[in-house]
Amino acid sequence: MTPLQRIQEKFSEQIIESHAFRGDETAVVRPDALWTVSKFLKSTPELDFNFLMDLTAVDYLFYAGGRVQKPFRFEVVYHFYSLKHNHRIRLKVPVDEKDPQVVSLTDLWASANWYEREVWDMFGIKFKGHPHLKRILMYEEFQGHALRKDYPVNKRQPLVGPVN
Amino acid sequence: MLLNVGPSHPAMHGVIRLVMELDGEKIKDVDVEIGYLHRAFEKMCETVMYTQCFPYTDRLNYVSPLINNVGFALTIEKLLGIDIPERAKYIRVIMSEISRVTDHLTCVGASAMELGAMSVFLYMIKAREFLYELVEEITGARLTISYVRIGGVKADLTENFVDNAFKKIADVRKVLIEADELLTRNRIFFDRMKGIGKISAQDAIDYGITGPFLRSTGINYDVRKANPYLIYDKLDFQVPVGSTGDNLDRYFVRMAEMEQSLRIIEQCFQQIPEGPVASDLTGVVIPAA
Amino acid sequence: MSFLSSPANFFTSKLNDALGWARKFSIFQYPFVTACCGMEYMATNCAHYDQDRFGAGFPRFSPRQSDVLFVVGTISHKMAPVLKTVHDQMCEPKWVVAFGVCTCTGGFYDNYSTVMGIDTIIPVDIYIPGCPPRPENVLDGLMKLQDKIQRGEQSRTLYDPRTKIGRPAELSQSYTIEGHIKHIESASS
Repeated sequence: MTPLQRIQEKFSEQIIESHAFRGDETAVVRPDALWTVSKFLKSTPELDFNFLMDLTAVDYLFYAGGRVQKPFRFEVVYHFYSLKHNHRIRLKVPVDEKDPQVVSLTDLWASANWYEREVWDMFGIKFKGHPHLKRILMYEEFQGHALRKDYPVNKRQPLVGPVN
Repeated sequence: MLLNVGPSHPAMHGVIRLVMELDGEKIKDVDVEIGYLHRAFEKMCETVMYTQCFPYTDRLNYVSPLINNVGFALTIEKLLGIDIPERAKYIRVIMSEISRVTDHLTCVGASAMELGAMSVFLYMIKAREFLYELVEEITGARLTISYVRIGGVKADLTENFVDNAFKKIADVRKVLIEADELLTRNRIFFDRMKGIGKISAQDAIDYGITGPFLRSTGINYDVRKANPYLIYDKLDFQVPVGSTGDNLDRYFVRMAEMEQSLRIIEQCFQQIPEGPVASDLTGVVIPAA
Repeated sequence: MSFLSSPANFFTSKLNDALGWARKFSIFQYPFVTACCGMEYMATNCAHYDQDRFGAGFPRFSPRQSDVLFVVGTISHKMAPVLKTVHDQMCEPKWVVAFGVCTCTGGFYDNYSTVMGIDTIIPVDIYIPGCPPRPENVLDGLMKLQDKIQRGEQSRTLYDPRTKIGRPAELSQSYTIEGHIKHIESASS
């Protein structure tokens, strides 16, 4: 059984949607179930996902040029890999714009620490339970979140020197 | 005592800020601050066409630019479902392995220079220049090449490339042997690298580290063998694995990997077929939404 | 004739020439390396394209001990105050070389985090364009810098992108805490 089938059979009501496109299995999980699903992925011996390969987020504000409206604005994407079984899975968690908060996975995988700081810096999504959530790529006096689609690409906030 | 190794530090390779709490020469605690070279690649790639992103990918890991290009191209080709010709795959592997050798040469040379072994640095940069001449012969630039295109590569290999490459590979091997003689049994180098910077295998997996770092801790994971892409399943090479995860093991893993990369390049030259170097992409469009 | 009226001028001009000659062949550089241009800087420093034959082969990693600041690689806004601090810590006479197009004009990074040309922050003497510049380019720039040192000239103007003319280099007012909070507020409005 592939990992996707396994979590579909165990968490069938928490998974909103799932697909496998070009060999990559993806499952969209409800935000309140994220921690349980991740713990299940890490601790089950047949799955044994010990690598958190990547943690990032997507902003669907102007998705498909505005033709498609999704019910949520952000989606946090997790990529997992198992060293022993050599399989991968991707989890996506939809996040609302008004209260962008997700559970932090730092107690399961230590690499989540800096990834979540980057997502906070670039998108403004807070992570509950993160030990030290502060900006990592930009400086503290920077206002706004840079990778959101409504932040213009060349709006500068210089510390020294002229603006533009 | 508290020491701030500030963003601009005497190592010539990038910027990082370390606020360290030292006890003599042992580091008790360190606070790392990064982001001084954030150049907003993701945001810039949103403003250009997906075919124009290759120059940005060059500058992600600027010591081995071709590998980044190949990674990006493979992603796009997987999403669009495009197949690329065999010759293009072989050329990509050859150039990737040349980039890998330049990366390890810079890394080992720079770490030797930090310890004071300046001649090793000079020898390795000399070897890197030989490889840059090879890269320049095909792509036209030494460092930031943007050589790979979606569907293949930009241009074919030149006529004398194979002979030149064999000569340069022999020269690089000589430099590797010289560096090995200078460093490996050197008492000072050994004492300064053994047991320093140890990381356990479980910690490395927890922090999501891959590459030569992970292999030096004893875990045999190489994505070229685990999930072979392009034509790595047809090539015969070994994966060097360390045991303790300290600086010395990382040095050994990198030196051995350079030799394996040179082996891969030679095998590719023997196996490379004739044919086109880029597939014809007329009619391929990104599906809407 | 003019030099007859003050014969000391002959000696001081020869002294200036001698000082310029001595300074240009013993350049103590501070390589402020951030990014990809650092690879070409290393290549220029080493065997194939030797920088040492110009007298510039000894990087001093302390601003108090150097006189030429080589700014190599992209400078982001997070790094800009550090660059200004390092430049201010160097003693006169000092020269600045903008190595690579990211430091000359910002390169192709027209985004929220890159300084579009370091001459908006510190006065620059020599611009070496290229992404990254070939080592021959760098040596050409180095020779032009040596000519400038021989003449004893230093650049004292900053580039103001709003008016597109030079303005005199003074301590930027956003350099104090209150100043830079005001600066951020006026920039983000």
